[in-house]
Amino acid sequence: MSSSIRFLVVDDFSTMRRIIKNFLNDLGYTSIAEADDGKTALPVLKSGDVDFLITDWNMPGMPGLELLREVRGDPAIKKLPVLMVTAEAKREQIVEAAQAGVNGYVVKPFTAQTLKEKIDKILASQAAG
Amino acid sequence: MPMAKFMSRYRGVMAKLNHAYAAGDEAAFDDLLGELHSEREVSLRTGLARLSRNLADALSRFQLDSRIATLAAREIPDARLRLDHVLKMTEDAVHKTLDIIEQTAPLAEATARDARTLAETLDNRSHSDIRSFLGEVQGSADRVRKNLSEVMLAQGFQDLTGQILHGVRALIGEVESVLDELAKISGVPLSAAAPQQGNKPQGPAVPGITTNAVVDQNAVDDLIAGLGI
Repeated sequence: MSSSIRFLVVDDFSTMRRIIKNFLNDLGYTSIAEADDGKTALPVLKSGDVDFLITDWNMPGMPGLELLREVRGDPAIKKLPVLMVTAEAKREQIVEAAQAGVNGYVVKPFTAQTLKEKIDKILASQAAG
Repeated sequence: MPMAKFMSRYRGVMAKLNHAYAAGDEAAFDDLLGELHSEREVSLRTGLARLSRNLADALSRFQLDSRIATLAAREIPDARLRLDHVLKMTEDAVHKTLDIIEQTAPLAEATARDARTLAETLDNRSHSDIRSFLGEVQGSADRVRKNLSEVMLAQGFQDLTGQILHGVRALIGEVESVLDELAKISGVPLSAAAPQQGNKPQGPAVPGITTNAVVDQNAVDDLIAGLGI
């Protein structure tokens, strides 16, 4: 029942949240919550109602990398799959996100195919693991 | 100081210092150190005097420059408002585009589905022209759906350009506070800012900046009609 997966999309740009949400709808996912930075996302994540986190990096309040570290540091949600979708494209940044435990990394602007591939790959490895 | 100059400058006094030291002549040694010290003080004073002259010059030039007053009082704050307006316009345009996509995509989806269902109900041995038409309709509707999806993803530009504009906006804010500070220090009255000139083209009207803008086409028509055109 892949379509029952509950997503949380975190981005400070309302347009980008809407684009990703629409895209997930197109892929058949219907349960999608939104937050505009890490601070507002964290309580939603801690409530345990999220199966998959898609987050931007550069956001006021709490940036995506910090949110990722918070997730990995909380025993209750540390295994949550996290896909980072961001304009931050420096090698060191990607390495930093990987070291912080990100499951996938998509650089903006992205294509439909790239985003779908990364989501599918993460879900497949979750199912296998 | 270049090494040769440094060495020739201090060679004499070093020899004398060495000599006084070797002879255990403390008074002569102290005199020589005093000489060195006062020489240092003179060059320090000269340097300070030069610096304060430069500073005074810079400040007086600054006071004369009403261009800076104009920048601090109006143009920089205007630039910030213009960027805010661009951010808002692009965001609104993207939301409007997404609205239309969200309304249109289900229509294309329904059209493709209905064409398929209808084709299936038709007898395979007849209606070949209608069946082929329905096939085309289904293909076109699927294509429209896909294209709408591409248009949607392309709207992601607003996030990228927006992030860049936010950066430039923060920079402008910093320049603004530095200019304000400078204007305060130098005592340039910000009211000395030169007034905006004449009817130069100024581009699209920006709320908070453009005065006397007629933004509604009806109001433009009324104005033109009122002018007898």
